[in-house]
Amino acid sequence: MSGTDWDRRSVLRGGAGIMSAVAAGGLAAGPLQAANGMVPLAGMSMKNYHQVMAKILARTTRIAVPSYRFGLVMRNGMGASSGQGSTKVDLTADLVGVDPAMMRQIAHLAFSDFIERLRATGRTVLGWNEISSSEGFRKLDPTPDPFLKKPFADSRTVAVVSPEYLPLLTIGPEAPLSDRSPFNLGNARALNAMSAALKCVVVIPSLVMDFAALTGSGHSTYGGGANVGIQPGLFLVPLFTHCNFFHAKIALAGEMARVILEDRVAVGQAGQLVQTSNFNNNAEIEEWNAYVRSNAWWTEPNMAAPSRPTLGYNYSTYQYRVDPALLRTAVMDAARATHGLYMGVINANPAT
Amino acid sequence: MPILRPSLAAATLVAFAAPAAAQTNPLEGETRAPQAAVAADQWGALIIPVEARGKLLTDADNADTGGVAFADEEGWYRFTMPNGGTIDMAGPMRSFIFEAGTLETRCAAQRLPDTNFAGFTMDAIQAEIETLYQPFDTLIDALGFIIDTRATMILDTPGQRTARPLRMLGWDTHNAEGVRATWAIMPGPAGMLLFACSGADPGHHREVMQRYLRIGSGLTTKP
Repeated sequence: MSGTDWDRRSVLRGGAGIMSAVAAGGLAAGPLQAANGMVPLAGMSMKNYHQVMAKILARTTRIAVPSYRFGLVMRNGMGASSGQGSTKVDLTADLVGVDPAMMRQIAHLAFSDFIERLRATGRTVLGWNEISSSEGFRKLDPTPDPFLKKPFADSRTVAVVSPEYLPLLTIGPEAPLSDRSPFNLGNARALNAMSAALKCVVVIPSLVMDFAALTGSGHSTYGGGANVGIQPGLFLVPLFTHCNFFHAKIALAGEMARVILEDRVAVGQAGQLVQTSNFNNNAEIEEWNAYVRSNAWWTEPNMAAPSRPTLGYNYSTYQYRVDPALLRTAVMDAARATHGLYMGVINANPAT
Repeated sequence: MPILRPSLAAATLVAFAAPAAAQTNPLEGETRAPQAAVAADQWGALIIPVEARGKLLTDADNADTGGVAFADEEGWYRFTMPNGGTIDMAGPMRSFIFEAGTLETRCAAQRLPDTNFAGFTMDAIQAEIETLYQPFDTLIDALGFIIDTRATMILDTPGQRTARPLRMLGWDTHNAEGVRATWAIMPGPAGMLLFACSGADPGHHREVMQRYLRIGSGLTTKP
């Protein structure tokens, strides 16, 4: 779906070129889904993930899960320009209808599913008494919940929570979705200490979803047009959706395994995309185009001609208004499918 | 497709308020002894031991809350009632009455032996499942329910690696008395499993099925 698609030459030269501002054309033509060009959830497999060092799962049958992270992209945006900025389009989209309590409840449901599946693998899943009494757990430095992050050079703003009874944990290597520097090894050391003391693999899953896929033509100096587009629909965010496994024989140093989502996975719809504002100079350009297309400039040489626009712009804001029940269902569909694959990784590396 | 008119007379479908939002850590307490790994076939369907079939047994995962699980006599499905519940039989239909969260929920299951799909593998059936809504719409009509939405549900089983999650046809419906129910059909080489739930709202019904219904290998393999 095209949000806005403008042609710079039409703006500046007029004439036969018809200036067209195709504002939210796709919305009018019927909503396209974010599923276009993505992996459907039902088709997601380990081919869509990157695995590193999963063999550490074979070192022990014991598993501790001290945290679970669930994130939603709350704001996304895209801009494009051409002709040294003479044509500009920009859109911003917000997720509306979600609050931290709702997110924590969804995180709780997803975490419960994760634990149920983990137990079904036949591994020993450590109880909270054992986890919380370990020295490593006491050394953990939790991140304030909810954690809001707008990664550098990224238009997305992500909110991350954990279930209300679990600490929200991040480590440096999880950048950009972390509140600490890559050189801050505090939590990584604490997790290693937990692993060494409890003789277990420490697992921390992370599930992050976005509500819109944005496309844009970028910022070009000589290009003739600029366009941005938005496809509404929930999808799993690659890189941010992953599962980390920590194992250490001694508290000082350990190894980390990761299973990282590499592709965008379409989950479905959980609401409606609504354009809430649009600011543009379509009328000004259309007036100029109409004047140029006519022969008034020749037959009425003394008329007050419209001034020629030197800039074409179109700024839009959207809201993805969520139905809470649909959001919960969609997130749980995604969580179940994702957890199933993580359990497959665990089963594929049986502990001896 | 055969004409099917199962009765849900035994399953009086009741609507309730929204689900409760209490959060309890599933890891609470001491470390439990590991449970036996769940056995699944190549499609992710549970392999239910013959001795466990046709019985309502304590569910190890939910023993603390009095949870029980019923495994179908033919090994077509396993249904868990996490806070306990009762089962009944009305003709060929098995009913489940239990509380999901704080909501009284009623579900019903019926095996519909059918050889129409016997020539296909589970993979082939799953690949075409979206095309099967239309033939089964008449069944939902025949049951006296009006279809509100059709949406496929993803049922998953633990421990899979390459198997894709099993998908099940789903209809959110209501009838003339205002009863809201979600109906589901899982076609397989052995026949079709008809399942229905009624509790609070379609989201709740689907959540119950996705969380507590597991397909068994009796349905995914040719008898």
